[in-house]
Amino acid sequence: MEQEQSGLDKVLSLRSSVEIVNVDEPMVKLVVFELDGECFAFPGEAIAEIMPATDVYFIPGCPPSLEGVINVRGDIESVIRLSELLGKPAADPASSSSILRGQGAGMHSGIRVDRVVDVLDVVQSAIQAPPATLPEHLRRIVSGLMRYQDTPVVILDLDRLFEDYQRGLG
Amino acid sequence: MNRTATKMSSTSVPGTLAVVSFMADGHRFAVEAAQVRAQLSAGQSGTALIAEQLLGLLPCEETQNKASRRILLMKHPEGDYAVAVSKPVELQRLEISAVYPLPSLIVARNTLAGLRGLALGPEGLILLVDFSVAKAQMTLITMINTDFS
Repeated sequence: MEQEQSGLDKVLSLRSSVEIVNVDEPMVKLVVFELDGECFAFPGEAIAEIMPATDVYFIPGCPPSLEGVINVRGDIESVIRLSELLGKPAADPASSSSILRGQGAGMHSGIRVDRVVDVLDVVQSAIQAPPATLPEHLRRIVSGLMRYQDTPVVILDLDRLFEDYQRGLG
Repeated sequence: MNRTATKMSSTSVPGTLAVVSFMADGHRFAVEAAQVRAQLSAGQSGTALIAEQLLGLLPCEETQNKASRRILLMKHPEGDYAVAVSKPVELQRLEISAVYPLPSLIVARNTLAGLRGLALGPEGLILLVDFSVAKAQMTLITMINTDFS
């Protein structure tokens, strides 16, 4: 006579038959942030730190997109306003914006953003190539697109952004 | 002409950098004290270059006021030159640890002539400039010597 399966047996049987998904797909860490209500991201390896609001020292002779310098534990970093580079309105100074410490193209700088949304690990295949319809000023610095909680996220290339900024972008 | 002047000390002790700080366009700047021969009152100088013009800043109304000016007599191998700066003018010793080279993006995008570094202390930011570099950069542009006599 066939013995009836206990509840535990059934659960163990069910669990053992669960298909193992190969998640060995390359992953990418992204720092997702908001600017003027839209989501953008930098690759995680390009961001050294997410800083809270801090005093920024104005330096005369800089373009409006170069906000000034900050003191980071005894070192000096420049701070650029990403909104200006992407052709978006500047963040409300009273808002609790954040500064990302980014490194790319052999340079490093603080980058002012409106709000850090999340730090994610996503599979490489979830990132799509940037569309050809992208505005001219974004074409070189956008490396991909993805969706996060049904919201499109524009992934930016910090190496190119710093290179272009050094050459006069913004 | 009476050239009675305050001699500027240029000696630096280890761990510090002697600078002469001054105001220009509402910002605190400094030059290395070793480059300054003397500090004069506005009436003791003939003509002088205006610091704001030399640095490439637009002079504001306040800095046009000659009464608020001091003259720094700057050393130069081809002959000393005078630069009018705004008060307060002070001899300061900056801790070396408070002196920073310019970040890369500031070097690339800043338009101030002669900006060499930054100093950050309890009193805030000081922009470290070299007037001789600024003067060399400005040679192609007509520099206006203003009469301070």
